[in-house]
Amino acid sequence: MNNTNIGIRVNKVDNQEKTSGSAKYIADLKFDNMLYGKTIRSTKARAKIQAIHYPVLPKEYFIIDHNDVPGQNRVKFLVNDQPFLAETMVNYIGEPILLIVGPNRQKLKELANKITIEYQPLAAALTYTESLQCTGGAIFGTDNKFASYAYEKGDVSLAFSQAKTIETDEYTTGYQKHAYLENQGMIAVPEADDKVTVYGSMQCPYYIKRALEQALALPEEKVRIVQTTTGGAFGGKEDYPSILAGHAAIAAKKVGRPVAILYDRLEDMASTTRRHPAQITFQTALDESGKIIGMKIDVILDGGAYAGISDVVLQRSLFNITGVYHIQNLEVHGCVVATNTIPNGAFRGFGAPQAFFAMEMHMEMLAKKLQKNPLDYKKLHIVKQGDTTATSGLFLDKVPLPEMLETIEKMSDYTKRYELYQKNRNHHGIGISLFLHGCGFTGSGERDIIKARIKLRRQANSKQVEILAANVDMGQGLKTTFKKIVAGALAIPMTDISFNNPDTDQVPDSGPTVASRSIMIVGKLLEDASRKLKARWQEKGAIEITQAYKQPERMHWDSEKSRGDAYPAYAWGINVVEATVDPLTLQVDVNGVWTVFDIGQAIDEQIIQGQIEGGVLQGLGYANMEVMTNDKSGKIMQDNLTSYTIPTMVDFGKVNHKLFTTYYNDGPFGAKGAGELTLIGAAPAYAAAVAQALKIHIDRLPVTPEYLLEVLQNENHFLYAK
Amino acid sequence: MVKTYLPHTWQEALFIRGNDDTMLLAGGTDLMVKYHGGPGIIGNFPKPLLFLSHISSLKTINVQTDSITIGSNVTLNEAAAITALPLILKQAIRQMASPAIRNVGTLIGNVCNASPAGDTLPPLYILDARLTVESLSGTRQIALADFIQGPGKIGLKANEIVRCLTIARQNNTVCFYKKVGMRKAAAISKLSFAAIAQKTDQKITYIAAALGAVGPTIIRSKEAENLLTGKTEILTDTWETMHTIYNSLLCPIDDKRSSTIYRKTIALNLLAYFYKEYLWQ
Amino acid sequence: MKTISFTLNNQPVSIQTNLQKRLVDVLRENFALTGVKEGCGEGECGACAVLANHKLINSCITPIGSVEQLDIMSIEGFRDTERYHILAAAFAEAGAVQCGFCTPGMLLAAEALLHVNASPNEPEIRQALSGNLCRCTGYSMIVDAVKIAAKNGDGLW
Repeated sequence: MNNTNIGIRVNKVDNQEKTSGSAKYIADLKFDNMLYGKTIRSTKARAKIQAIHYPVLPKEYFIIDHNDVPGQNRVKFLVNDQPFLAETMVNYIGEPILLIVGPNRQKLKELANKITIEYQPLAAALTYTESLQCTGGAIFGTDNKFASYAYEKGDVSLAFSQAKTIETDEYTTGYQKHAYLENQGMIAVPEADDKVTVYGSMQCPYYIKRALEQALALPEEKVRIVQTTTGGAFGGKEDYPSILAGHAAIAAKKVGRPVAILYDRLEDMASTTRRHPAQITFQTALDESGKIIGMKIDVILDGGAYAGISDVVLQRSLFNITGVYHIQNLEVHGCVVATNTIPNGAFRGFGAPQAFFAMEMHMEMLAKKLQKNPLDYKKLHIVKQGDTTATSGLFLDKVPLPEMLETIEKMSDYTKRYELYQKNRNHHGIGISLFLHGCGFTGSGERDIIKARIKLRRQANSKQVEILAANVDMGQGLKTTFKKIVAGALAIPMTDISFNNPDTDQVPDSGPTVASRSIMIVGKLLEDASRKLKARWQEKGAIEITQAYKQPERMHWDSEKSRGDAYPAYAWGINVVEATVDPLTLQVDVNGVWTVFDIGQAIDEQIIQGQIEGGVLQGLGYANMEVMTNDKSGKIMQDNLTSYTIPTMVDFGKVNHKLFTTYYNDGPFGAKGAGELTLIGAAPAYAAAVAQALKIHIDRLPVTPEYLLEVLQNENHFLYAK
Repeated sequence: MVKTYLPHTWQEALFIRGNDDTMLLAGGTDLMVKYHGGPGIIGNFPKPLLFLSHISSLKTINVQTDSITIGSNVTLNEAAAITALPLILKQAIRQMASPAIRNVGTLIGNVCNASPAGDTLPPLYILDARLTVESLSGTRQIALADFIQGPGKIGLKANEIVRCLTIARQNNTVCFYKKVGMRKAAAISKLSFAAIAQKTDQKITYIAAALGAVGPTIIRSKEAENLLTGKTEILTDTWETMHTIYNSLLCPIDDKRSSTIYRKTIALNLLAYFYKEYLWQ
Repeated sequence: MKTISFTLNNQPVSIQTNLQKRLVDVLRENFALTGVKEGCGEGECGACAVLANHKLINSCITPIGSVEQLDIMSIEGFRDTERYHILAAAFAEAGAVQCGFCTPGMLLAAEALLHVNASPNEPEIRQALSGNLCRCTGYSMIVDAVKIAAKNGDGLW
């Protein structure tokens, strides 16, 4: 069924409450008898806790430590390695050790400052090298590897033996911090009969629910999670909230009163997850014409001190490492390693921004060496429908890149300008990136782990329809788009549909709000359920329809061998960035940004525009001004919004964008995923533009003026002579 | 919690200042960040606070034919709005912080904060700003370059308050300002450069240049500037000497924002550009 | 503790407080005005922005002592005006609201701008809102919203 009118923009359903300031975020809520909680954290990157000295606590003030965890003191995730509250060891600066809870925040701070902890410091592993050498002993397992994967395709040895040249190249990418405007927070409220309800800012109510069932040793019906209006997330509220909710709930259980733990910016920056830094090495075999005939690729990610979801980030990095290119002979290795730093986590793109930066810049490097135009060189290798993916799956759908390239050329004049700047640089450059994003969970995650279900409910003698799903609106407009899908399929007005902030007492587990899956996977369940409801609409009684996820038949994935279709569908993107470098200061001015995206059918074109402009700016920030480092002791150096600089309104101009509309049969109204795609391409396009402007090669993110100076001095380019 | 004072007259303020060891707060945009405690928490100020914000006489702006006097409560935006204010200072103010901070933060507050990266300082140094400082015992004037003694250190006694700042009105024919930060707004400077010059018949009659955030205090070299006074061009030898002078004065640090080598290299680039090209356009 | 009197959302108010208490805490706690957000506590993000005598200030770095006799307006006061309705409708039309956390601050920053410049051009809009951070929208749709409001609010500002 094809309703191409669905994309026409509507006013979002939650505009009013947000513009008027009446929307309630977690820090805006108060409960009777509520106490505040403050987290006491490790000041050492790695140490044994020898003793803790407490001040005398006034009435109504309590300390909570690991002994107060009723169930398992382990945050339920892929691996149960991370404690809610440290026991005898700490593994990163910022690791939670204790909570102090009480009615007055001023007093809490005073008391917290009086708690002294005696540590026996141990040797910390802070770099990839130290981690792989297990400096100070392994932090995780026996070899410090949270996960490692290897896969191959074709015959790499043969390809390398037949190669005319072999090029080796290495890339590194740094941290990125979500910097959502609303800091993380949770309020846990003990209810009658041992039940506990936790309210907060989150992406995944059911992740939290399961983590708390394990931490509190409570059955399902005793743990209720309710999402409050969430002020941005971008992946940063995917896994961390389970820890925070756990803290609040453990404290609430102990003291028998509601406990609010609300982070301020300093604590949020210094304690919550960051994007995994990466180091990616390519060995590429080229034939006489310069075409790639084989690649050996190695990826290492820095996972921080605990496993979290690093395994899955590594997978996405590895399975997309060859970008949009058809590489027939391939050997890929990768691991994500433990260091004594803040555990890293999900961030829009989830391993793909790192991979695509590396591959796109590698292609730039190869093209330059062969003295070819980068786009022409890339075009020689672009995948086509029917080609195998890196993991020997298939590109089952038409690959729209050739047509999208035509569009972006018309929009940006890329080739003309590229050639102009090659002849007459004048510190200008223009760069292009081609990329994709596999929508939905990697591999068989949807089918085997998530098993998403939604419900549609219509009461007896009513025309009101209720959407019951656990996915959250975190700004991306899900409240509006879910309603649009159901309204479109049922042919009823959006105002007859309700979709409340998920409450796990009310809604089934439709899976987390991650992986660009909400529209494509959950939206499809809503569409299918709606069509079933439509067929039964005339029934008099109450109707409740449950719809459960079924993996598309055409998708085949072997998780043991990392082989097959890692994703059910791909969304595609092309970005062009034009930039000018100031020869005096090496600061970069972005003069133009053009984007073309294929996300299938837009459920709302204006909401997609918001995702494009927001995602591209995050990608440009990642490329240029978002510097995040650790000092020699492993402590974060940029822990506020003054020193971690995200783009302001004057840093970049408009993004010129067009959608290339296709139709994905297994998506609602033909829609695919869009949330992460829009961030991936900006950094490589930016880097390519700056590389052209300065006639250098760029192999690192962020591309700071300091780094550019280093490269110029190394390559003996004098930009502005003495 | 420390004591606080909210005087409504200048005399009252001087009296309090003379009788208690206080910390002065005008706009508060620096102090409230420095001592911020968090949501629901009052910051831990180390000394009793003396609010200057309600002394209306400190809002005075006095524009004379050859000078401008700006009171201690004049905000950055109010200062930038003075028509006669030298362009070099306006440019620096306009690129500072954010509109909301410029509505509250004061020009003299930025001076007294004496940050090595203080954005108003390079322009004020080259405008030879003077401060009027008062106490119950009297008034004195002090040159800005003498007032600022080090990072966060000013020559203000515990019983004194800065009343106003005076700069000469200028007829600058050349004006060059560059702030280098991590982004185009709301950025602490990695370094900044301010330079002005006056020419009569192609000859330089006055020239001054200063750099910020490349040393513990503002870097300025009258020795280098004097090499060009009276000149109509710059000779290679002259530039080499100037380069040597500045090279020995620049001592930037490595920090979370930038590196020694970047700051030094770009500072020298900007000096070269100004002295060799921009000045003679 | 001292008594501080000021005007808040068009009402005269008086509170007994420590002078160094932050305006954002006074507004959110003493007056339950939770439309004023705290995003950074350092005057960097603008989510806490309110109007003081119609000028934009960051309430998280404003001590209440400085507020004596000032005319303070938060989003809760502003939303009663016709200018708010024009701006809110413009933000809706332009799709400029995503997570909403920066939104009240953005509206007040727009109001502060339009109050002194009723038909700003794009650079002027971007400059006036340069102290309000947004992580969701990429800003251009907010700029469009202010342009739409300026056009539709002809005569109001």
